[in-house]
Amino acid sequence: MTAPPVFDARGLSKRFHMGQATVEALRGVDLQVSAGEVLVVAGPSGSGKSTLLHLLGTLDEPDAGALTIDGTPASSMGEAERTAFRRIRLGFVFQTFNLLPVLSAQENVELPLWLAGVSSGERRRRAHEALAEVGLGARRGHRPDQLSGGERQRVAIARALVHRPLAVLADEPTGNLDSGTAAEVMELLMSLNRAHGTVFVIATHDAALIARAPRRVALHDGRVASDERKASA
Amino acid sequence: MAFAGLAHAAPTVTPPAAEQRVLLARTNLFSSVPQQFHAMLFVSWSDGLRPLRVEMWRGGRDRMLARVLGPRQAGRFLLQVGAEHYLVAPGARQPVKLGAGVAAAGPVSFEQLLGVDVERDFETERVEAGERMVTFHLVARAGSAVARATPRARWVVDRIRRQPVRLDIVLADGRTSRVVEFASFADPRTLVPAKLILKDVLRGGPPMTVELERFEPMAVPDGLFSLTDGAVRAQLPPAPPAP
Amino acid sequence: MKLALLALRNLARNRRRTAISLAVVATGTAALLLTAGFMAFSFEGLSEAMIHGGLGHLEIALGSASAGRTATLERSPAEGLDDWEVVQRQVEALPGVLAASPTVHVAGMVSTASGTSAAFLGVAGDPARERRMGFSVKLRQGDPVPDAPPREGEDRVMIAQGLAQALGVGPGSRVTLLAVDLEGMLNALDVTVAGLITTGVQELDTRYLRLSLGSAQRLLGTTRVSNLLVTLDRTSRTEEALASVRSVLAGHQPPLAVVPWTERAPFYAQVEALYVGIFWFLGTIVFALVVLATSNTLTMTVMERFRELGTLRALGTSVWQVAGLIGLEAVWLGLIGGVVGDVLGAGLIGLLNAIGITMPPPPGAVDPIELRVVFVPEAFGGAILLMLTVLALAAVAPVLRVARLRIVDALTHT
Repeated sequence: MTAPPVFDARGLSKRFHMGQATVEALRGVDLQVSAGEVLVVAGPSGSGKSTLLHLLGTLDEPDAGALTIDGTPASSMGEAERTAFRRIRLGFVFQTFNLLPVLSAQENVELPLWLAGVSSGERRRRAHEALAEVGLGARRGHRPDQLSGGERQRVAIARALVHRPLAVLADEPTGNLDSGTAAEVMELLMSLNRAHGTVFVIATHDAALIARAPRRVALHDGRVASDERKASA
Repeated sequence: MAFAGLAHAAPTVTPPAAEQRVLLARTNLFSSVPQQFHAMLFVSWSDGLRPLRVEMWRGGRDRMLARVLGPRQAGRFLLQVGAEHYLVAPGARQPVKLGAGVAAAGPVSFEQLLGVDVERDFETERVEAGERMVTFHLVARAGSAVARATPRARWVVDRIRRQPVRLDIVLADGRTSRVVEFASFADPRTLVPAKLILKDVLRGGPPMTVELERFEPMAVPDGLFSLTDGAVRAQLPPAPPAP
Repeated sequence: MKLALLALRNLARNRRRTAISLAVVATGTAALLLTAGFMAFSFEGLSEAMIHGGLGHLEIALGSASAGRTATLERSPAEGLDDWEVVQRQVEALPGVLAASPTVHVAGMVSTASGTSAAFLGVAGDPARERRMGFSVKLRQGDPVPDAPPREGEDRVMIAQGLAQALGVGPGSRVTLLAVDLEGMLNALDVTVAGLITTGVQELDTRYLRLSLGSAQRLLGTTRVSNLLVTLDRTSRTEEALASVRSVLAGHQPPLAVVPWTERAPFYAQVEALYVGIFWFLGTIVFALVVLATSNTLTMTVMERFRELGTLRALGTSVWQVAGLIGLEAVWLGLIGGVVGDVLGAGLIGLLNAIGITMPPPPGAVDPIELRVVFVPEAFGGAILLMLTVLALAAVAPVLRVARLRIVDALTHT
């Protein structure tokens, strides 16, 4: 018996109303992501990448279609359950890092553990470990405005992984980074995937990033235009 | 018919005819009552306030001395000389002149027995003559001593009996302030009143009844009315007991 | 890491805006403290001035005289106490009672030998007892009325300045008092002006005079008194003393009424109502100002941090935790602003009292007054509580806004 996919999306559709106009952001997307996969969702602006990530991350609900995450239908979860689910099972990385400016790197990384009710000693230890893993053990006392863009994104990645989630959803994680730093970040994500088996779903239109991804799903006008796996993967 | 009835009821208003001037003179108590007398008055109120007995002396047309009989009132007199009223009290060395308002509110004055001098102090403005009652509308003469307290008055007389019936004291603004009703007379010839009823229309309060208990025409010593020397008053026999 | 600590750190982000908000809250708090302190000073001053100015703490009068006319300062001895000396002994034996002093009120005309006259309102009392009770007669010229009962012909009075001026008399002048005695008859009494006084109230000064009990009783032909005024060692004992005096006099015939000073001085209640009204008015303005200013700050805070709040929600923070964060920021503003306001208020009160500002006489009064602001301990705590309430109210709109936040919109908010 094979394990169920981490994400199992069937016919996901999402519409937005912008004034009089209706924008079909997703038009029946089918997607299965298995445990340990690294998946890049590619496509031009407005192709529906971010919308798909929002739906997979339970930040929004589809208008049509069904989504099952780790065997649990997302539609069966209420607001509180979705919040709890995100807290425990998911991690997020954003283009603009979205760190809390009043907290140090260490405190930012501790945040998911604090939300999960982990004791302070345990929190400190695990956050320290996570920061060391992303190469920022020495800068854990710094606040975000004292860190470079790449360092900030590393903190964000540490924050996304510190509570050992099932999957991390990253929306344009290298969008605000120079190409050198972007490559480092991508390398980091890959190595973390190898180390922990965490699923990464990365929305990007960064060609370098796409080229390195083991699996590439291209979206066009809200539909899956192609779904390719690297032969070596 | 209605016109005839109205015409019949309406009194005729005219300036005083000779006959009416005679009627006014005949009913002027200031002239007809003896110029000097000693009297005892019984003053009571309809709502049961404690009645008073007042002893009064008249010494000429405008001089009056009165005292309220009672143990606590010993040595106190009300003195009227001309239009002025005074209080004589053992605690005050000199008679204390009373303002018009205080005098009017005081319990004893000439008004209570004789009304006002309708001939000397007033002019007749007009006369309303009914079948039996004649009303003289009076205005105080300019400069008259009574002008302030009594600027106007109505003197109502019975022309058949040739007796006063009522005196209304009227203020300058036309409001009636007090009413003196002459209920009966002790002597129809001199018109010494036997019973009067006084009503304070303006301030309200129970009507005051004044009854003449004793009346003796007699020579009254001048010294009783002195403003400077109380010796003669001091020699008066002690007041008879209060009622 | 605590939510409260996070809220506090958030406040430190925009220091200028937070400082302005704190200044608004602190100024509002200090304004309330100063107002409360000034009101307390006014009430205290007014009540003591009234009690020692002639009201006493309690009045004992005939029940029939008191019924329906509690709030009067003039009571005719026509309905007075005959056996007042017996009552006086009973009451003065009670604990806390400084003295029970008899009073006779008499109204009439006062005239001079030259014929000038004016209406007067006379109050007669027991000078020695009144001194013991702390009643102050403000003598401006001449001598007080002697303590000993006057002999016949030696009656003396103290006339208020305004009345003396109207009559053209001074110390040593002879005047005659005219009044209606208890039988309704006029009586007169020659008296010598011993001294000139002031009641402190202009209107009253034009007709007020004081005389000895014996003189007033002689003028009115009575041995009665209008009432007994009872003064206590402390104003706070009024209720207790009221009960004990009432129980001592319970069986008295005819029945006696014991009236506390507050009931006799409707003026006091009116002033109190006026001040409380002003306080509420001012409080409402401060309340509204602080709500508006801080509500704006908190709304700005939410608007500027949409993306951050969205991130918190994405990471699994519950909607109420995020709303609570904003609420806690409001609470911090209220608490810190309130404490700073308390310190500021205390400083200002100390400063004002140290400077010693003299204020012009209040309307109708004669003497200027020295401004003093009282420390009202409960106002210090109350002001902080009030500010917390104000801020909680100010946080309602921003918190609701957070509660309605769509995570996706917040994350894409620029």
